[in-house]
Amino acid sequence: MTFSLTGFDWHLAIYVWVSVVLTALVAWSMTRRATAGVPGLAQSLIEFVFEFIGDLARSSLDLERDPAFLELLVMIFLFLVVANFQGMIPFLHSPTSNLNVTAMMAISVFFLMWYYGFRAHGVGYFRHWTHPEGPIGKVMLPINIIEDLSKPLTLAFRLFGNILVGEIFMGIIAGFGLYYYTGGFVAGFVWWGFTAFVNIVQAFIFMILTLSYVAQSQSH
Amino acid sequence: MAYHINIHPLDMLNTLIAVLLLFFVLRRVAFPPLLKAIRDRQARIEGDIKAAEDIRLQAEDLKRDLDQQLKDVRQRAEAAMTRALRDAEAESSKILDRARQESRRLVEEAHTEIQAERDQVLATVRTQAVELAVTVATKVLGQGLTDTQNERLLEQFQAEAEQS
Repeated sequence: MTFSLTGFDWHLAIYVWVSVVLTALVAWSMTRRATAGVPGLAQSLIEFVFEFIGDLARSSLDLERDPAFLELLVMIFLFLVVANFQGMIPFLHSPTSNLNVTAMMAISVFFLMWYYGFRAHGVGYFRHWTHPEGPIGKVMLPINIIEDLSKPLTLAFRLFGNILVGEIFMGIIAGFGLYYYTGGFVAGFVWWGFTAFVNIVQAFIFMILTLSYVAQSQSH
Repeated sequence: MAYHINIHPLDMLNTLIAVLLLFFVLRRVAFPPLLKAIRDRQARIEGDIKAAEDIRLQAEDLKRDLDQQLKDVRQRAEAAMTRALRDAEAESSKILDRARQESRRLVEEAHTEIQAERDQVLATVRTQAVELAVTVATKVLGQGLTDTQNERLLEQFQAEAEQS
């Protein structure tokens, strides 16, 4: 693992922007003909995503106060689904198989968590580091801080690791001549299906943990 | 793209800018029509529910009115029936009274007629009995009676017959 101030991965930048453009196009194509009448398949799908995430968020947050937060959660989910699936397109890579992308998103979630915590409790937000009350709280202080700081780390590495592994296996299967763009279908298709499932699950986990961390920060 | 775990702040910054721009675009362009459609549908559904509720309340009012009207009609019908029954009973009593009076009158007339017939029969029997008695007496005595004797005998016989 290296750290560099000068290195800039143009390929990664292109993949990130491809994901962004694809996400915007997918979302726009699904919503541009939105009707209050009987929705089509695409509108039903995006409405389902909104309502499903909205129901989850409403159980722990006041969405009337923060209507944009639901849109943020939906955006995170859509972006990660598109970004994860991008690696399944031949000759493309998923930007989420790069730690810089997942780390930046996880750090953003971390600051979002602090923002909501400060907004709800002011400086008193940090009192949760000394929980439980009493002398044991002082002992727990470093553990609580580490727990807080580990949240973006686990978020970033979980997503990065899962997507990277999926891509590596796809590469291996392709190397064996079994992947769909080089020959045989069966092994590639089975792995493709499993990877598709993992991609959606990982996007959902990232989104739901974002919601969970923000909700926790408000309840401390 | 090589699989290395390299941290590059510029790559991270690029990601941040891209995701923030995506959020901005989705909030401004993609999501508003959908959210508006959902709001409109919710408003329409709420309106429909309210209209349905109003109709239900109106129907309940109407049903209450109809029930009341039905109750009134039933009460009126019961009153009319009671009145008709009472009138029928009164009429029946009148008819019965008239029938009893008529039957009594007929019985009395029959009695009167019977009495007259009886009197007439009795008078006839008496007359025939006297005549028979005179005939018998004439034959027993072997001579005829004078008119005076005959009248005396008749009167005597009649007096005895009336006494018996």
